[in-house]
Amino acid sequence: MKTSTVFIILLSIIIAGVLFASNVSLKKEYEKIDLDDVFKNYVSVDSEPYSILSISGSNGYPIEIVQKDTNAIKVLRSRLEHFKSLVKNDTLFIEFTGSNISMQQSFLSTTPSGIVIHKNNLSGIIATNTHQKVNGFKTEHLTLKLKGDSFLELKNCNAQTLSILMEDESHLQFLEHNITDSISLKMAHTSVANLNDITFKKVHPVLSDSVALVLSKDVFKNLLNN
Amino acid sequence: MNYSTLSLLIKRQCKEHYKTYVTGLLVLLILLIFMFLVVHQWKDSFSGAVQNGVFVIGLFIAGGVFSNAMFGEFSSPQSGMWLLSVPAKASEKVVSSIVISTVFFLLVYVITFYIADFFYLLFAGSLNFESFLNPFENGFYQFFFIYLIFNGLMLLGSVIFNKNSLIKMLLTIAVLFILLNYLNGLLLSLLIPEATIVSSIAFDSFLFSHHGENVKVFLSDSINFYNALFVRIILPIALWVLVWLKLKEKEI
Repeated sequence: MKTSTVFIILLSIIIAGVLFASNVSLKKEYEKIDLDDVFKNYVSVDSEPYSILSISGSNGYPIEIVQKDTNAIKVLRSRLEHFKSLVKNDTLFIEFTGSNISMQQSFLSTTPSGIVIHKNNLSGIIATNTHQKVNGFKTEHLTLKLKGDSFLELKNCNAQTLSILMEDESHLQFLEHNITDSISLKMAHTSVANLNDITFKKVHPVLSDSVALVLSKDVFKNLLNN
Repeated sequence: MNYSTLSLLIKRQCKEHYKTYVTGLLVLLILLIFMFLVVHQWKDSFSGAVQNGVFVIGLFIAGGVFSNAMFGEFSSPQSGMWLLSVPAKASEKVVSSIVISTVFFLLVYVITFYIADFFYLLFAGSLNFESFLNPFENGFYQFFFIYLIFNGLMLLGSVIFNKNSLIKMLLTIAVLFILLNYLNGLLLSLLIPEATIVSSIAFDSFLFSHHGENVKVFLSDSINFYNALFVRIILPIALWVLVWLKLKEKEI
């Protein structure tokens, strides 16, 4: 038998052996998974205390931010390599890299959340080119700064004062039912804010460039009365 | 192994084929620019990491053709005889081909890609340093290691098959890839019969469905390190050794 033939047979056996060994190892990892755990696809990441969240990177995977008593950061296991975090002063900086998708695809996204953040309280969120889903926050004051191609969905939030600063092509959308006493709304460039699902008493808009506001009839009347 | 012979072999390869290489380089540049134009024209259909996509497609098309041409002399008996009679060891001929089709090729390919990327960004109006593709971001560099395996297979193809070696080897690679995936899926389903396996990547991970939710299973870090070592280093070297053995047998 030729040396090369012997070598091919040996190599094939080694490849099959390594394949078998890695699949046995994958089985062990599979057995470790708690199938009843809601976050079985996620890995917990530790962080120092913070009250402001600054997220930058890509909008390929949404970032879910939910008010909960326990503070936790969970990163989708397959995206762990794309996650970097650092706490400076009172701000948690998260860099979540990856590929970008169009804003239209962001609206229709059914992609699972790349990061799930549980936090008892937040005073501000700064987003640069990322897609956030903020849910159930009840706080006195909340500042939202959106830059680049950021898209932020705010659902069932209740803040006494809400400061919103939007730049570039960022997009803000209120969903379900949000309540605030006062909104400070500063928009520039071609940013878009959908104020359909928010109840407010006062609004202080500072609008420039070619910004767009989406309003329901009630919100429009409320805005005229201000 | 004699380094001066190695250097002479590399010079011979470049001198004998420089016209083909220059033409190929121009074709590569045009191909990359064309691919960038396509993704720009239909940008709604090509969202995401388009630069990464173009880089990988260009790398494997150009790299496949180039690596396969390393022992292109075997396509005719006369030139094949001439190559075998070149006064150098088979190992030196193989190493010189590996150096040209990996180190030199990757260097030239990366430069050509960035020239095309520059024109694309200029055309798209988003020319700035941050917009250029960073191959070391998000683990993208692993494609360079996959290229090494591909290079080994293509070199092997150019030694084994005398006629139409490119097509024959590409078909062989496709069959091997399908077989590997089938074997991997079969092994996983035998080892974990209770899991509904959706997809799997050999030596890396698998995805299973649990009550409609897809759950991904990865190797532990330590096992992953050894697997990466095997796939990225040992496997390409083994393929290059096989190329050397096949060339030696041709000499006999």
